[in-house]
Amino acid sequence: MTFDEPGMQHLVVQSQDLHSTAMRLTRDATDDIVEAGRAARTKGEIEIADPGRRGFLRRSLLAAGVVGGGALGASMFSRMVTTVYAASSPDVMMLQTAASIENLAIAVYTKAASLPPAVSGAAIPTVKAFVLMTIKQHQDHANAFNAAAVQLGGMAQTKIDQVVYDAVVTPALGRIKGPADVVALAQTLEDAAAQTYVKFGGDVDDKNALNAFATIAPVEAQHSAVLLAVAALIAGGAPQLITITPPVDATKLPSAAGSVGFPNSFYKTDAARPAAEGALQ
Amino acid sequence: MSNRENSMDLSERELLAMTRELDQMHGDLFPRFRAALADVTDGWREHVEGERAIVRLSSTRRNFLRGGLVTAGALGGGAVLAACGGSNAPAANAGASASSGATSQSVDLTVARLAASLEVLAVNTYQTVLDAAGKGALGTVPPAVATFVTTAKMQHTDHASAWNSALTGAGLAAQTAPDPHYNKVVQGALPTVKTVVDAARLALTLETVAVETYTAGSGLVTDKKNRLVALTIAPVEAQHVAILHYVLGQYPVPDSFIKTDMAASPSDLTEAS
Repeated sequence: MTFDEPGMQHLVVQSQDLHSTAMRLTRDATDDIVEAGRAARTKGEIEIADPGRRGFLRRSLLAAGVVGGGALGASMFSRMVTTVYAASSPDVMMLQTAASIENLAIAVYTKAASLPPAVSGAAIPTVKAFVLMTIKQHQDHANAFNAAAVQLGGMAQTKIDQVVYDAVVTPALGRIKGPADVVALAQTLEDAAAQTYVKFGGDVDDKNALNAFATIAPVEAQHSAVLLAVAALIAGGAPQLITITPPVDATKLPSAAGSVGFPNSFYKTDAARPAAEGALQ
Repeated sequence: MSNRENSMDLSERELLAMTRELDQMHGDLFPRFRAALADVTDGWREHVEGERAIVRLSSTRRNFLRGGLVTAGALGGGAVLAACGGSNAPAANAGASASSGATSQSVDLTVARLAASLEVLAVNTYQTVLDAAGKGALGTVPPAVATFVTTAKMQHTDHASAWNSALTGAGLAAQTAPDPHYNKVVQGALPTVKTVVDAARLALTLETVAVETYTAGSGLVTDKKNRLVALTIAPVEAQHVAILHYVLGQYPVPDSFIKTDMAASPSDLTEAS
């Protein structure tokens, strides 16, 4: 038998590659398990989603003497753990902040609708219809975010995002002179909402929370697109082109109106609100 | 020139100025996005290298290496050990998890390829519309519609490039063919596209499929970085949808939530062209 050094060298290298791969896959798997466990503990998901696991944990705790009160004590401990972890979990905080943003949007659109039509833009029938429909859609969003928060053991957020109200809305309301100002404020809020939900959607662990952010963020982006187009037409002195019934005469739209509503190939997230901003303390 | 005409001239200038600013923003944003995507690519590259290493392993006759890996829990063979109740059960469990992790990465790569195939289809379709418009086959094309098509095509090109750079960065082939299923839909519809309105309706279908696919896909992918890529593209497709609705005389934001019933399926990728 001859010693095939190049062949052996090749096998050694291959073995090292494979060992490296094996270690990485194992490490990744372990990280996944640790991360999943951490996430589940943070969210109280063990208590909510896995009755078998919950039973195992309860038995372990009883056996360890942590819960001395028997079944009743274990049950109380279980509820306490769920409430404590879930109420302050990152997912719940993001959902509550999202709900507070929706509540703020509803408040601002409602305030705008109460202004004289010549100021709010409601003199334009399509703008009026948009405001009413958008209020309804934001209410749907608030309900969805709150339902997801409650499902995770948190509380529904019924208040507005006070930080945004103080920093953005209050100064803007004082400067409103006409429809362009109202539209600009609404667009700012819609864009911030979309950016926030894109960011939160990338961060959450809970599937229901992800579903809410993924299905709502594009709708806020659509609101933003419409408002950017409306703002451009108002600024361009062509409010008569803001119409759906009758349909707009597309031949009269300025060229740039075809792209002003979608300025970026990828939705930005730098204006996303902090996760805890609208969370309940 | 009347005041009204002056007003419209001014509005066009203002709008063009806004467009230039937006182009600048696009240029500013895209490099940053590409940098973020590099993280995604790194993860996929590791996955692909891992899969290739395992393929090499399967082809080697040196079974002692395989045995070593099974013990380390890196191959699905660990499940067999677990079923046998052997003393290697913990390693076997890790092996199952690793296998699951590899499957998860495969899901992410499949979603990336599906997304790229839809972007390629959108780019091709908009180019076909531009070509037809250039030949006068669609009648008079409003300037705003021409701008929409040109800009939307550019953005879909960016999306396709993003997914393809991730795929090629992971050592896989770029997706240059359109989604086979929806390509058939488009090819069947194109002969009936005689006007700008027809073209807008076709584009609305494609854009709706795209946004719904990204929305559904964001719930499928397992890596949060990959999920964020899908989430940053979905709203842009949704904005295309809103403007197309408006041009077609429809309410631009008809639903409170994006639906997913028109989302493309990963099975599209294996459908015969």
